[in-house]
Amino acid sequence: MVLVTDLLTDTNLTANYFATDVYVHGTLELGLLENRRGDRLLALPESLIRAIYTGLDNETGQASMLVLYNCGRWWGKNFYTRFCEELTDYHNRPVSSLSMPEFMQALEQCWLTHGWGQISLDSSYREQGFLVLKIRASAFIYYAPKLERPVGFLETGALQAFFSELSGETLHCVQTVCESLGAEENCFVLGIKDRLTVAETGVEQGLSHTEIMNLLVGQGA
Amino acid sequence: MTTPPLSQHILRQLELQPDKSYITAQQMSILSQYVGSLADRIRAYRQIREWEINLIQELVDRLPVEAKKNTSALEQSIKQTILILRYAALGMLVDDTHLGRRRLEDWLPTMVEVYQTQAVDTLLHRSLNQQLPRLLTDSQFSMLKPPLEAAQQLLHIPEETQSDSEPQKEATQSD
Repeated sequence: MVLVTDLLTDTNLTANYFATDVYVHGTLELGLLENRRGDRLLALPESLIRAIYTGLDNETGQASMLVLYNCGRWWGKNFYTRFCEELTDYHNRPVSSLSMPEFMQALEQCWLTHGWGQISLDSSYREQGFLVLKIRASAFIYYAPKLERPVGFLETGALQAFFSELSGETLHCVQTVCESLGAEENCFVLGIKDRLTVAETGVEQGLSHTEIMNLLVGQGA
Repeated sequence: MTTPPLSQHILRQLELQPDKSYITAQQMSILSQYVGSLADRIRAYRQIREWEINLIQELVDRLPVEAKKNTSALEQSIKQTILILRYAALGMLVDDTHLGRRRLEDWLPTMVEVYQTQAVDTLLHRSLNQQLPRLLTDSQFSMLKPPLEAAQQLLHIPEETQSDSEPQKEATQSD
């Protein structure tokens, strides 16, 4: 027999932890922006994001892509730790006990609430060993300098580190298509490094996401 | 009701800019209506809070045996029902119809899918909707109904085939 009182032992029911209007708190008079645990948040104005790109380009030129990618990797690794810590504290159970859809829902909501855009997982190629992540409306990509190649360097690094931590394997990430080049969404493919070389060639040739995925899947056959 | 969809709670609906002008007559009338009903809202909220456990337990006890077989689905569905009731009650208290909807959107449908709760959700919410009008006065239930329905929409409960449990269909201001 199910007793409702047993389910309400601590009267706390866990729900949508990262819901925007409860996650972000602010005291404008003090200039404070915090998350629901009291950790400080920082709002980045558009001009600062632009300035970071310009500054990096002036200082490091060609290398700025690599610098951003490495920053992304640091960000992704630390973000994974914080993300799991917050979810574990909130649900009072290890993150590993959450199902994949629950975990992804939390990640999607978290990404959105932090203003990084709409992220979603496409697991159609999972059996072939590839994970695809799609991000719409990314501010980092929107304000990036226009190049003839995808420019989500930060996200590429961040997703690579995040999902490497999650899977316990060293993954590599390649952005296949980019909003800055007219694509509807930014697509990122994750997998073992050796198997993603084909994807990098495909990106250089300007192939579409589906074409690149077909190449990737086809190489094992 | 003139509440726009996905609005905030009552005080947020007012534009608090005295340097521009006084609150308009229409806003004053919304505010007076709210303040006039506040005592009743507080009473209803307090009652729901007190009844919560017994009310939900009663709904659970009445479930057919086969609906109780999948314990994890049942437990999750009970938690979801309590959450929806709490959000609806708070939404009623602060006159924020879409409070539950805003906070639970995306999350709730994922849970329904992961835990396969739809069958139990349907039974629990149909009987919740039948019980609440018996526990609350007409005016209290009419204030609870919009936030409750807005949150329940996230569950995609199929419409009942017999119309006897829902005497009249009111025009809801769904968006």
